[in-house]
Amino acid sequence: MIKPIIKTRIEETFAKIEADNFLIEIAKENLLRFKDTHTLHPKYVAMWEDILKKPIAEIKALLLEDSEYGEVLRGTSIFIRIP
Amino acid sequence: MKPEQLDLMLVKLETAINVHCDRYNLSESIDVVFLGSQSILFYYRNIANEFLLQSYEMDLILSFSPELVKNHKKEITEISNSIDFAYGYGSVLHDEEEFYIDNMTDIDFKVSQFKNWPKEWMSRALIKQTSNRNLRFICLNIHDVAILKLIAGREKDYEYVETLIRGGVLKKKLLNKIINESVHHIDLVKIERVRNKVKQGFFMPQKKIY
Repeated sequence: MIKPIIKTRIEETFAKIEADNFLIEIAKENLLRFKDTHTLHPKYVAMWEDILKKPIAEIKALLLEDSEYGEVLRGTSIFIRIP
Repeated sequence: MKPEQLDLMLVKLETAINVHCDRYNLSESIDVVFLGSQSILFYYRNIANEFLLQSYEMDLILSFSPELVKNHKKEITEISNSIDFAYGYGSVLHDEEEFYIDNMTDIDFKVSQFKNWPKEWMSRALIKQTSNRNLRFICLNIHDVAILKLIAGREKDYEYVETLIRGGVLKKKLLNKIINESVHHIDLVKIERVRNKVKQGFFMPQKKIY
């Protein structure tokens, strides 16, 4: 089960992105950096590239999923450094 | 994760736990048990295969002495919560250092946190005593990590173990020894699944990755 503190933090991050859609660019930059520095497996880079094509609400729902897929997304999350 | 991130995490964890022990005058033993895919960094710092460095999370369980569980439940719950807050998903550490701690401690302490673990796992683990004589960092032997992954049985777990086998990290003889010793210790269906996956894994061509 997803911990309440993790759920809250994801919701807070997406509240900021929903208020200012430009913040999604930070996640995209993070992904590019992970890709360039080879710190994320290409399989997960491709997965995130696909996910970033989806609407913000859908991305948030995926990150909050209480499933194996949700765990993988949280374990490789690109949603860091969102001010 | 990277090896230097592991070093940083150990320093931060030790400091955080010591602060709580001092504040509440706790002198009973506390173990931090590392169990996830990134535990491999304890054993192979220069591992090349990026698939093994796929995750930004370090899984751990806090294990407290029975005296602490009995007499200081509030305090140890606070230690566990403080780790989530300071070093968990979405923490400042996650933002700044690009990794986080997945604290899997069950703070109900109703059943053993190590139920369904391979028998005698502790005798094979890497034990690191910290400057606080009551605090130890314990990292599961990579063979035990692999067996726990196969018990969990998710797609990513199979991929991880297959990579370890193909890379020559896991020794067939030791894996089978642990499986045979754990037959009465782990759910029978799960242990058979583990046995089959190990058998399949060693049929694959191998190439050293460390």
